Amino acid sequence: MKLSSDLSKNLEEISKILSSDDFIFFNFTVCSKQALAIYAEDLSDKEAIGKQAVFPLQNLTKFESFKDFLTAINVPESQTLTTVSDCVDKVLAGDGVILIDGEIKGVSVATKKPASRAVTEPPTASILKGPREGFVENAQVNMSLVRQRLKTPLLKYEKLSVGKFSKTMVGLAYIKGVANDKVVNTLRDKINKISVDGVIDSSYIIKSITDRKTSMFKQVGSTEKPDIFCAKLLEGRVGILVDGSPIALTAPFILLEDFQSSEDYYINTYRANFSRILRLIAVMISILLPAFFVASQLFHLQFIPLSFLLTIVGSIKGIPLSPSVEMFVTLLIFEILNEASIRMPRYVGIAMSVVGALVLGETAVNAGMVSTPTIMIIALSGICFYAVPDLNETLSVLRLMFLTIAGFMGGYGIILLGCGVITYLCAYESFETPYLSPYSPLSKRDLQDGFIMSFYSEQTMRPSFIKGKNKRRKNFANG
Amino acid sequence: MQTAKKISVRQLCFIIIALFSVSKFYVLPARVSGVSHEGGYLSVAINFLLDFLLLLICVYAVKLKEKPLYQTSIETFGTPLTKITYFLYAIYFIAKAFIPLLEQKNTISLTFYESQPTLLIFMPFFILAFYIMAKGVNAFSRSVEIIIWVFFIALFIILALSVSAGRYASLLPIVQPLDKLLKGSHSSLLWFGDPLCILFLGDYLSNEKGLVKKTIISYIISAAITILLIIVFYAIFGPIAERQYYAPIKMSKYSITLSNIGRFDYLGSVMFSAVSVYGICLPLLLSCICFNKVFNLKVNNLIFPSIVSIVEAVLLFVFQNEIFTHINFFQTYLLPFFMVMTYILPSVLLLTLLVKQRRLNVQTG
Repeated sequence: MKLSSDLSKNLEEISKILSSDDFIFFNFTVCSKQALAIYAEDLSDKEAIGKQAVFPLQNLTKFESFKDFLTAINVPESQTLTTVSDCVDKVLAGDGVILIDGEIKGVSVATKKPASRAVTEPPTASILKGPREGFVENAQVNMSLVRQRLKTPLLKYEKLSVGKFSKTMVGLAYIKGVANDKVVNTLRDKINKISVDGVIDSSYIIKSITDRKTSMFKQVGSTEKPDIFCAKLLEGRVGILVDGSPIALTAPFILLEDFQSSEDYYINTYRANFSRILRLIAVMISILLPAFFVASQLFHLQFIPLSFLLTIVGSIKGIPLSPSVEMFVTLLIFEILNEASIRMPRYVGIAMSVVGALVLGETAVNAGMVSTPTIMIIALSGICFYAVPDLNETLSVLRLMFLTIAGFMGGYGIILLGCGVITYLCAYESFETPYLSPYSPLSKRDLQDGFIMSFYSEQTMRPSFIKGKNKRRKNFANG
Repeated sequence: MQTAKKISVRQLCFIIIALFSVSKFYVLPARVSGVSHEGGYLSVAINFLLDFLLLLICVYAVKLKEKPLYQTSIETFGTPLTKITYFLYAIYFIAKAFIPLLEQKNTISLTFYESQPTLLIFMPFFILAFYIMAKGVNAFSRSVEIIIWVFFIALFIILALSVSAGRYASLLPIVQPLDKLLKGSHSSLLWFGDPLCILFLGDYLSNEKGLVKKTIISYIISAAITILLIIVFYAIFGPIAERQYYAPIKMSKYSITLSNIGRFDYLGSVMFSAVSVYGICLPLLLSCICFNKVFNLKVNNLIFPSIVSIVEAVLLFVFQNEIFTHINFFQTYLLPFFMVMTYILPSVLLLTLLVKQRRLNVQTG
């Protein structure tokens, strides 16, 4: 519905829609004409509305045309509005809206003042060396953190609105010429096609833009750190910032990214390589160790060295459960403790881990419910689990699958499931990028940032699997 | 979004190195040692030479044909003959996968498990085989790029633990009577003929330089690995080698290291079994491709992956015991069929393509 020249009619229409108490309708006069300022009390900066819009308008000496109106308002992001719905959208977004009697147009002034916490180190990505800033829930602040690091006009930021009720701002960030245009277009199309009531967090976007909805493997990268986000943009990836979420998304995504830490690029390369290999070994241990132990105990005793076998025999004597059930129950208890310790308040969590790890474990062994090797293996698997924290959702399911099949079929089951997982991952693609790149398909060039990374000065090319136009990157080597 | 379904020459080379050799590690060393004794590796080398010719035939046929193999065959031999040949190849590939499957089943059940497991333990293999067939050539070739590292690690473990345990004098004399070597070659022919796969995989190959050179080098590496393994195998067991089936699990058991750390070598055998899974699935995958062509079905349909898996499962269920009786049956009655399908038909195809090419050259002056 178009705005009317009659202010009272406009007020009636808008107040019908914005009928809550937190919307303020403020009347004032501009050169003897009635004017109205509308804003949301909690979202807008009323001082800014007063200083930058209402006060200059009240002090206006002549008002002949709409142009005088625009000139008087001293806000850079003011926008002309022609419909009632535009006015409502702007108020809901936190802007102030000014209407004057006799004018069929209104003006919005950008006076958003959303609640935002301070930029702090994200708890999910702590590092010893490197930037400590983390994203917050405000996309505008997040984009400013990105702009601070990438001061180039080629860094493009497209704002899209998603959600029938939430009208959440979803920002698409990429470096023009470096990012693959096809991925940018695909993401833009997919985000525009999202039809949901609301986007509460960026994970809602992930569910809508990925091709394999039922997969347990991540298809889009996520980070809470602007330095990682910028590094990914520089590699040619496309970033997504969602208003209300501190977690930024990046695409395309490959499995290797979960094994890379931002710290790898800030510390000595030798240590970084060692850490990456350790993470790979830790992942293997966390998935396969409980399964191998159960399979060896049930089907392949010859796999276990004799002296270790004797120790195991000694410790499992009198245990009422079969090895697979024993491992399964212990794993279940571990998962419950894990779940509880995440949800509990921090100070209770510490007490909880002491009770869980020491008291429960010790008494279970003493009571002859579970054996010491089982507790040890689950503990080791649990620790290894957090060497790659981004993968733990997938790893916990995989560990359970391997454990189950090992209990039923032994080692051959582990082999078959392993082959199945490899084939699945090899067939898997995230935005035209093979998931196991650069190892399958093998790309010698991209191995520069693989499990064994080259020195940064030797990493002269962007990853080829991104398929961006600008392939060569500038670094210390080529200036 | 899916990328182009092409396989690279590098992936083909990895298939040649890992999958062509792993199928020859289990029963072949013992069988050839039983006939050719210390000259077993020479008998195998003769077969490798024969296969080398087949490799050249297949690679040149892939290079010469301008259209997909099926189209080329229809244009050259007509639709009915092509369909019949493809159908026979589909059957051939099912049969070709059966011996490695029996070998794997026996290796697993006789050496890995404390007490012989039920056949049901092997049934999930067919679910996996179905999955691999359904995912197609692209996913398969990419998987081999991961599996090749497993293959090399396994090979390293087995060879590192066994090389020093051999008495290499037992391989003497090097010069052996030719008829003895040929007998050994004849007895092991069933395990050869793998380069035929290249002819069928050729349709999926990306257009890259160096196909001939790279495949030849890979084939030489594959042959060298197999011959080395047979040499070490015979050096360890000598005259009793003919009774030592499932070589990888037996070869390293005399290593002194194992007495301290347990049967670490089993890890190598487990890894070889994983590689072997893909080795068995390769002919099954090609069988599906052939069936799809015969019945004009789309590449990614699930009908033939299910049929082929079920047929293979039934075959295993029926013929699960007496692996050596089946090998002898194949050797006695099916070898001529194998020879025609493996060596004769590809040669005929290459000859026809060469004649066609020559005619075209004459016509264009």
